[in-house]
Amino acid sequence: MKVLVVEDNKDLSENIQNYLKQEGIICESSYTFNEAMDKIVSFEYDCIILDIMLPDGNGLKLLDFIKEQKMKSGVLVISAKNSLEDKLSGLNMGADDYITKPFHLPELNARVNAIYRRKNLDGDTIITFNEIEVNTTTYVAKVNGGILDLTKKEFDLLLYFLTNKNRVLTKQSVAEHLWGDYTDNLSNFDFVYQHVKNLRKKISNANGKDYIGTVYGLGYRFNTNQ
Amino acid sequence: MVWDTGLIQINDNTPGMRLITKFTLLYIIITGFVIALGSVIVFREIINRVDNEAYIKLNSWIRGTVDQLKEGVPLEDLQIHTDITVEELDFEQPLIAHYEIDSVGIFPPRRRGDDRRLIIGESFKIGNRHYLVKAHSFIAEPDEIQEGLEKSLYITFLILLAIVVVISFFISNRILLPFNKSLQAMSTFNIKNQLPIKLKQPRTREFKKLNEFLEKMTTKAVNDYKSLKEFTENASHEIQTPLAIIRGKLELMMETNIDENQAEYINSIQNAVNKLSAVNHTLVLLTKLDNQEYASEEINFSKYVKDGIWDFQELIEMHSIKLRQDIKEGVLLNLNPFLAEILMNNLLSNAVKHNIPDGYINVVLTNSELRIENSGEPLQVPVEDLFKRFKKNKQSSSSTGLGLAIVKQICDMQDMNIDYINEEEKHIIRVHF
Repeated sequence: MKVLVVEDNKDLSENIQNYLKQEGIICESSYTFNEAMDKIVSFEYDCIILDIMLPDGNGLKLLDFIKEQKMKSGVLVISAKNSLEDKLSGLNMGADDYITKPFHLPELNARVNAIYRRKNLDGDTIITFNEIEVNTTTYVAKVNGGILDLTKKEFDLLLYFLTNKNRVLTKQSVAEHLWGDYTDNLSNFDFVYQHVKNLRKKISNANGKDYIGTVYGLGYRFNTNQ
Repeated sequence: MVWDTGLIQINDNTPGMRLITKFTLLYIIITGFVIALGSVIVFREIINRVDNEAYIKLNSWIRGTVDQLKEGVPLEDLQIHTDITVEELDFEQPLIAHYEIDSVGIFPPRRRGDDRRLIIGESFKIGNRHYLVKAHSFIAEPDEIQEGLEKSLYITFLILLAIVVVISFFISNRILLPFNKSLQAMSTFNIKNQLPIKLKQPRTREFKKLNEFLEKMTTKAVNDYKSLKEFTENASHEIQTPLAIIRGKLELMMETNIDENQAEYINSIQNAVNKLSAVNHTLVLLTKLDNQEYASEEINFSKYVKDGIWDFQELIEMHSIKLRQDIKEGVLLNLNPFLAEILMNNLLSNAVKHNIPDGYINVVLTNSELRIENSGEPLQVPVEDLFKRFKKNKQSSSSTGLGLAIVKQICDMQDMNIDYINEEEKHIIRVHF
């Protein structure tokens, strides 16, 4: 997968690239509107991560251009504005998804992957890892060929782990992934623990390996070399 | 960071006198005063003139009589008015100087007995004879003049009054039309529409000035509002970006080889970042609420209450809280859907967060109110403080202290009343629609 990161803040751009590169994603970056325009015209990207506020132009204009030229690239809009209007106008203008600052890198990664799956692999939306198989269109998860009886949240959780293998996922990041924006108000992440526990139990019951481990004080990690 | 909208409601039923009524009243009072004063002057002038005329007439009669006597006309043959009397006096008697008597006399043919009677007299020595010539005349009494005067002025005043009232009410609507239009434009002015008032230029100078001022003022208000809004948005943006960087760096750092101590530090920083981000988002939300940026529409509130409960179901079960709900179907409310979600989220999240182990939550929705009752430790701060920003029951708690402030703001915006009752371990929050 090839991704263009259009973000004027170098530190933030580095964070994103650093994380995505470790997932085997090829990353390029542009820090200005014009730079981004040049790259979009010259190269093809699977996904463009687009900050709306750029020093020399509005990112939504780039989005306009991409849609006008009927480019295949998916677009994930990043904005500090979490206002409804911006969210709607971004999505109405053809952005594939929208994420607000400050986001979690695993969450960004999960969204980029989701966009990539929707855009590029027509119908082929099965993610496999060893004995685990997850179909993102039918929402069916299998272990050793046998169907796992998962709730919607447990399915999302499994998919989140699979797209962020070997990464520390904090409870906050998991909570936000599963419950959305309003988890800010919930100081208690016991229910994250509950869901992770249930998922692990269901995988083990189907004779799958227990890949999900806790990382002391921080959260959880899906360990591939278990 | 948070400011008023500047939206001013002007009530059409504002008590007070209408401008035109004031003008008319003032005009009538002044006119009445002038007419009264004028009538005194006119009265005096008339009395003076009448007296003068009467004296002139009487004097001329006397002169005429004297002339005849001088010509030698005998006393019996004098051609004189019946109101003149001539009597012969003793020649030796001294001359009687000219005298005037102002008296009340009896005048039989008149309706009323009393009348004012002027008498003048003087004696003349003509040849060797001595005559006393007297003349008298009845004139109108001051009372009568006053009466007539009062009557006519009274009628004049009434006519004037009628004309002024009719004209002022007919014309005022025309003359004050631009003013009333400006008033109306002002009352419908809403800064969140970001449209300054545009008015037609009236011909009256004062109204022209007023309209120019209104346009300038609202344009400035709109511009100030815009820049303040932009400032808030930019400030929020500027804060969110560094937060995103910190969060990202921490997540990258977690992937490196760290020991337990470091993990704990990272965790603390993460929590601080989360809280900072939550506060920032909430402040932006409060600002937007202040600016009334959320348009209301008719929603099925029952659905939002149920969805809200559904979202918290897991959490409620996890804390082994007993949930009872009595939700009336199809309760319609005029509220922004997004705000309805936030309202339910904040109220329920408080009910769960501040609950005690094995506690309870009762949610009741009727056509007139939403009541959420929950168990929890007794409040340590005054109830009214809870709705203030950054006020919390326990200062150390991890909440932002903005949840109820937002709820209050939403309720205020929709003219809904909210109250909080705490009795020992029982907390009731009620929203009246």
